[in-house]
Amino acid sequence: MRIAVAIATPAMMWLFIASGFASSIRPESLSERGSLALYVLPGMASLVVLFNAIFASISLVEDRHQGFLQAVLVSPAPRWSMVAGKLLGGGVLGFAQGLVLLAFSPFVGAQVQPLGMLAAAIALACLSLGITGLGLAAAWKVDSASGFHGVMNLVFMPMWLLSGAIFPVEGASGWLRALVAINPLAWCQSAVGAGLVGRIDTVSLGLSALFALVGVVLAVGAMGFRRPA
Amino acid sequence: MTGGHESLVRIQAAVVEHRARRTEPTKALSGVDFAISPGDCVALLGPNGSGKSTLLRAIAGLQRLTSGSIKRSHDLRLGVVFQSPALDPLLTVHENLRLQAALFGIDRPNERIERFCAEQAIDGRLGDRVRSLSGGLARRVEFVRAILSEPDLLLLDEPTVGLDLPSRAALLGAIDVLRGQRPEVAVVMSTHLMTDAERFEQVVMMSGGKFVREGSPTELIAQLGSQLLGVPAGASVGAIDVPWELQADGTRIARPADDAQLASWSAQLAGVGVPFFVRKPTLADAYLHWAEAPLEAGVPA
Repeated sequence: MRIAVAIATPAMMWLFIASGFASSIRPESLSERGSLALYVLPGMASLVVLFNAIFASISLVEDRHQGFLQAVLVSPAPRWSMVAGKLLGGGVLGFAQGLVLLAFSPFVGAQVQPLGMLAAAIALACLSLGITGLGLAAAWKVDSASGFHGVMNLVFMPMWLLSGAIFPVEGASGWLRALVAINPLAWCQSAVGAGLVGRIDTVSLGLSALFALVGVVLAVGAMGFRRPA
Repeated sequence: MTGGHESLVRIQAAVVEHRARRTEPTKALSGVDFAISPGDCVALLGPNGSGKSTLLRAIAGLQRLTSGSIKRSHDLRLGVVFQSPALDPLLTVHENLRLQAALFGIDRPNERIERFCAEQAIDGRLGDRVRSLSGGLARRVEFVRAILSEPDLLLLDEPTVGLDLPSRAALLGAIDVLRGQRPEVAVVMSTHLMTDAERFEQVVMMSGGKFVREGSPTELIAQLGSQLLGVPAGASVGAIDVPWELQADGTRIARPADDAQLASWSAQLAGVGVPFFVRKPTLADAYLHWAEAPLEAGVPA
């Protein structure tokens, strides 16, 4: 159910936006990606990843509420194994589901070049690891699932909306472009988008790797060394 | 609590403060010293909010101390039955126990799971999801989960809460069986039930985050004297000069120092026609005297 929802919602949005709004967007504003369907695909893949990160993070809050986490914490299992399990569980699932969506890219005009596709996959993996790490670090600090929904609404969804996922940012106002420029989701989507047209955007790819590292460090920092009160 | 062994856990001057915005910090533990040695069997008694669960969580490493220290022996294996369920309700009994075995690095876990579950008479439910179990059965699974690693120290936080009589008896019996099989295992259990606490060798009474009395159940009862004088709820004791302790149920209890004082007080009550009773003290009397603040402690009524 969780997997189906995580893929189905972005897939439906992709379908509606790409087919329904295509005529209301000027093609020249879509930069190198040409069609709206291809333009919004990285954003939809990142939404899949985001949903998975949210599910993984909420499961941490639930584990704590159900008392299940306590049983894990009193065991001699190394703390890093718990962090790695949560991080990789959420991260790999999000990455794999995002790839399912990207697999449709050749049908909407993507240039299938091995290096480009590899770069897109790496950027997606970085996005998944980074956002899952960020979500887990936030979930560790938040007491309730409703509190985590607040974090989701205040942080994650605006991050996604301000990533250029749906609307091109080239013509946006200066302050909005500044926000997009410092948005890790925008870096990752830019690297994925470049990969889909056969280009390797080394700057975005590097920034995506940095985001993944920050996410991992935040998760390890929050969960790896402190026990919840 | 016993001497002569290296402690499994030693707590010194433990203080735990809970802070909330715009309120004064409250102390869940207030300078507690506690040591647990192999083979100890300790019941923690105390009213709600007295610090029992906080102490157990601190021993388990789940509660940071505001000040003080906790030292655990190297490679201490802990088994914990928490106050609230700590099983994944969506997994089966077997899957929950397999996960626990993996966390503790247990070799050939299936063999041990089957043996322990057979001892608890839940081997027929291994394939059932935990959410389909009754409260009593889930508690038995929790108990098996806690002892699966053959722990050095077993912590039980009010494990019999909400259980019917047979389930409670089964759980307490399982603790006895475990101690019979492995006398070196230390058990610390918090409870509100005197009959549960009486089965333990040592009782620690807590109130306001502190230890207020420690000893065996027999010692604690003996400290109240040999006889108690009581007046039923609703009876007027008038101006009789006896240091009554008013209980929550309206009964008044007094502790005469010796037989002569008991005779004197009884005579006064009989003289004015007040009904009274004399009985031997129980652990509940000791608990009410030391851990629960009497409503009118020592005030002549």
